[in-house]
Amino acid sequence: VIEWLTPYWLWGLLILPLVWWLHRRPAVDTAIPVSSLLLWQNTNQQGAATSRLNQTDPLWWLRALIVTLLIMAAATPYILQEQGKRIEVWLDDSASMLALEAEGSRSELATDALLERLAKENPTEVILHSLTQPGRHLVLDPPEQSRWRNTIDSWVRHNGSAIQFPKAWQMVPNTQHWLVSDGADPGYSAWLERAPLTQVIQVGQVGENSAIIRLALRPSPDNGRLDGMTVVSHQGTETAHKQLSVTANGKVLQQWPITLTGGQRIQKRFSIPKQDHITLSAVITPDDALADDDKLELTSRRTTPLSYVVLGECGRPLLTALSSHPMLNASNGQTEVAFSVVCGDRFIETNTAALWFFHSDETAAVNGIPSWRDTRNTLNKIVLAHHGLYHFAAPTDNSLTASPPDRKRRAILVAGDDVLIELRDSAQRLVKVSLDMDSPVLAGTAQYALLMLGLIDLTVARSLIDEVDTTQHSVIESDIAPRRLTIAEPYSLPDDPVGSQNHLTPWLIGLALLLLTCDVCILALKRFRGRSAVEAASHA
Amino acid sequence: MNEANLSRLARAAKHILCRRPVHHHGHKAHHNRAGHSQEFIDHRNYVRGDDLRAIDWRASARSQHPQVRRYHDEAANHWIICLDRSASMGLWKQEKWNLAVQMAAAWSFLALHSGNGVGLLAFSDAIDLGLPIGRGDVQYRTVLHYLNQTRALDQGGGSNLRACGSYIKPRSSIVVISDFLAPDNMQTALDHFYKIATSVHLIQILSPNECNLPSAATTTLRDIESGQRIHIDAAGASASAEEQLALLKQNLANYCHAREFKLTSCLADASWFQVLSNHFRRTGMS
Repeated sequence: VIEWLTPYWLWGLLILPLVWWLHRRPAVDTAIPVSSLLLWQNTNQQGAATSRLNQTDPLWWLRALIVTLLIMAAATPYILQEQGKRIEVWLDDSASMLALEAEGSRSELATDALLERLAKENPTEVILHSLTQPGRHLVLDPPEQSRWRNTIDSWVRHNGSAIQFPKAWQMVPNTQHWLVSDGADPGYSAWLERAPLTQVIQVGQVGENSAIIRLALRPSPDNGRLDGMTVVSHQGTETAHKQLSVTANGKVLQQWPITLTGGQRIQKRFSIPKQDHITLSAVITPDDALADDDKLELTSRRTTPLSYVVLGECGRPLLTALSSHPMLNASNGQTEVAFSVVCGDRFIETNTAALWFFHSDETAAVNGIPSWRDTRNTLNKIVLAHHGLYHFAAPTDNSLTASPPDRKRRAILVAGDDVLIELRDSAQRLVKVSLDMDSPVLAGTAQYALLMLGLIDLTVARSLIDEVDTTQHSVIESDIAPRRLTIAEPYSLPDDPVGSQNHLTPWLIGLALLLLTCDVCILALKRFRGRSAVEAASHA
Repeated sequence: MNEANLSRLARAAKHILCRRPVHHHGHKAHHNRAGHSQEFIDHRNYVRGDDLRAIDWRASARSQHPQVRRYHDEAANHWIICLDRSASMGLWKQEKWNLAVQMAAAWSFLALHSGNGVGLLAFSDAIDLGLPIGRGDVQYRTVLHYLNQTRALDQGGGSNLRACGSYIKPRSSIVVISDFLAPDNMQTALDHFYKIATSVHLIQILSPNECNLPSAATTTLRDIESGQRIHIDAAGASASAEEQLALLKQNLANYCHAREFKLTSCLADASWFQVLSNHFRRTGMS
């Protein structure tokens, strides 16, 4: 429906008769009046002529159209596109929605409740958004309402991810936003305060749930065994009696009857013989509301010794430390080299990770207390006294210290202004050590071996000596107790949503200009033809 | 119009306008058609179909043959002047119309002063002016008044003589003044007049400019009555039109001759007196 912002301009259409009047031909008839055409019927006739007296120039239609378009443009027409009822549903697809209630799973109950509400609202457009996977959405086609359940069931994926609440600006304004959830996530209360929600559909009542939240394995001080640990947590208010079983490669390793009170965590330790490959699982029985977190599995592969290659001339303390490392073997040319040890004042290019012990002719005492800058590795536990520590200063000629470019540098150990150990991270890691590792003062300390272990772990980016395998489950995800979801002030939509206005004025003006151009062209053509006729007559 | 001219004209028109019976020897039939007025004319032999009440037994006894009485026909003394006031009569500064008016006035004068009744019908598509039959000077002044008030149409209007038919009493005498430039020469209406009228007189007035064109180039002609237009090549067009006009006139003349209509054609620049004199003289000779 076309509507007008300034309809009084349409009164201007009354000037159209004036346009017509201006285009009338002059009332001068050049035809010769005769008593009767009977007398002339035998003359050489050129054809019947139509009366042009008082006829109007046909161009008046074009001009009238241009005037009409301009007047209509001034009246500012627009097409009002009425906005349909659009509902955006934010669906909780976290793991807690898999919890079983008496009537079924929370996910099924949520779908039932949602479809029931939607049937009452009769929306024109429904969009479902995943709360755990931002950007993932599903558009429900209203004509296919009977197939909505199957569509929703096949779309929902409970992949265990945490809920990522959308920001308010991510929610389309002037639209109904519904939340469908069990309210188990503690972040709802804060989100509900600012989210422009209009309705909340809450499902679920069960709050008791036990879960295995951690399962870990690490080498035992006893060289032939592995130490294991598992943690069981209970969310709820009542006491739960469970049976915890740990199996290794399908064989029950150990079982514990456990009694858990609300919020309690129980840790159980176990020990198993060292094996290269272990599939460890911990299970609690009997099943509770959420079966997904009643079992935790861990696959552990014990690391075999790594091969390394020495490039350049390294000092004896260094070589001794490398050869005494229990998880390292010098490369014999047949095994795959895990990392290279480079000694010298020039870096030797390798295609593996490299540990570069920089040498130069100039040594200097470490001036200042060494301090570890990176707290993410185990090196920072080593205390180095600066007395007796030397480092190699870089030569003036930078070419001697040429190293692979384009590596992100990160200082690991600094002393004053000097960087003693730095990490250059890229596809192949490079750990550059400027400390004099051959210094007898340093080599004679107990920290030397730890320093070498740390440097090697830093180079291969994992712990070789104390390798911990662990898997865990978020306690939050196991907390399925519904929290009451209330909207402090429901987002109010305008009673009569204003539809979008598509203004037609630019189109009308554009069309008028086009017609005006046509008019100018016609006039120019007429003038040209008139001039040609005059010239032809003068020549004749 | 002066009285001397009209008096001379009245003498010339006496044979037409004065319809009193002339007493012939014997029972010669009057050339006028008889009517049923109370003024006796003469006797004639009875023929089958005559009203028995009209038999004059005394005359029948005298002549030894059934005789019936004849009376003057009132209607035979009525003159209806049909004046064409269509646009074609108004062309060229109303020259045809002016002559037509003069002749209508003169004919009225002559007829009225001969004791006839005169009525006037000015027609175009329909009857534009209808003056009932009257007699005497009053009627003449009325006729003059109407003629002075009337002009030919500037444009449009046809020459529908048939429209006059319903206003004319049977056995009237009819004068039609027109250019007769109609598709059928008004013959349809004239056929009707032939059936009902005592006598029919036609005065055709044409303009000297009827076939003239101002230029020799291609030009557009507009029928002043129908508004139709044609483009013509003016070269030789006038001559062709003259031929066509002559043909039309000849057709009309032939038609009138066949029906004993009295036709006179004249140009608009002629004198009314001359035209009527010629007309009365020719009709008198015939």
